[in-house]
Amino acid sequence: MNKEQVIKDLKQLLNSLETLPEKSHSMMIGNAGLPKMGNQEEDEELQKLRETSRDYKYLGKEFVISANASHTVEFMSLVGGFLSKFLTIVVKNAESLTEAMIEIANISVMGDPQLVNFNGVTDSTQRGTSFLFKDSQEVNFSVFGACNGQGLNMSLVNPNAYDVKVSIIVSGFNTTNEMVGVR
Amino acid sequence: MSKILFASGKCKDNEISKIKIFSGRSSAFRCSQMQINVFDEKMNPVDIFLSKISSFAGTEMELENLSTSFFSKVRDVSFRCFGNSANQGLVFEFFNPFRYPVTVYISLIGQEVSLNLVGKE
Repeated sequence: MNKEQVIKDLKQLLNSLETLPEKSHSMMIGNAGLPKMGNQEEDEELQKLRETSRDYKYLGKEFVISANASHTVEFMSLVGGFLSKFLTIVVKNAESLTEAMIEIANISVMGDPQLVNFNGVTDSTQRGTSFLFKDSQEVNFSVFGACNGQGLNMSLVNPNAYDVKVSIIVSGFNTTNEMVGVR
Repeated sequence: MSKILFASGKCKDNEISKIKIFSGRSSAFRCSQMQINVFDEKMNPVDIFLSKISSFAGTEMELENLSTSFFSKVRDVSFRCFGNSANQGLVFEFFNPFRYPVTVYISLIGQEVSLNLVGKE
């Protein structure tokens, strides 16, 4: 191999390294457990909480997603399980603070998809928009827990050419640890 | 207890485009509420026309180019149940009058039901 060829190959390698995507946040599942179907008692208790309880608790997160980047966020309860009833997502342009949108690629609890049409691939034809959750949308997600991997995971994608500031509020009720993973 | 189903797709400029939506995994879906948001290439909200919604059982809505802005907020709808196999889906027909492609996001809220109910109320 001649010298010019080596230099050319090295340049090509260097270019490919420079175009590698930025590191994305990854979800870690350890011994979080498995999602499960609730028994009759658990189902009735969750139903009662959803319909009659007014003891709302709130979980909130705010973060910035860079332009054209993806982000995974995990909500965990402080202690025990958490039954989410409403989800609110407010997205603003990080600079101008005008209204913006993000794509929702997937929502899961312990690996169990919470969106109906999830086919195992978070491709672009199965994404929703944060506009659905602009004014507190009622949701029916599994009970999530307080440990890593037991939380409510959301995979978000920013399709805009600018950074966005995302505020997510999950409101719902505290449950016992045994309920974690029950739908 | 309501579940959420998302779908999205591109609509080419000055053309009628179809977006098919299937229910997930092992169930059919009965939709009771719907929201449609459309964005241009710079992700600014725009309005295009929704011409028809059809399913396995036939036409669900003959809209004759209704502006999608009507569905920019969650609206109550009543479609027959649709399934997860080819031809069992819910088909949306959009007309994009602009000279640029747009991205359509459809959010359906409803219930997962038995596959035996595909095509039924």
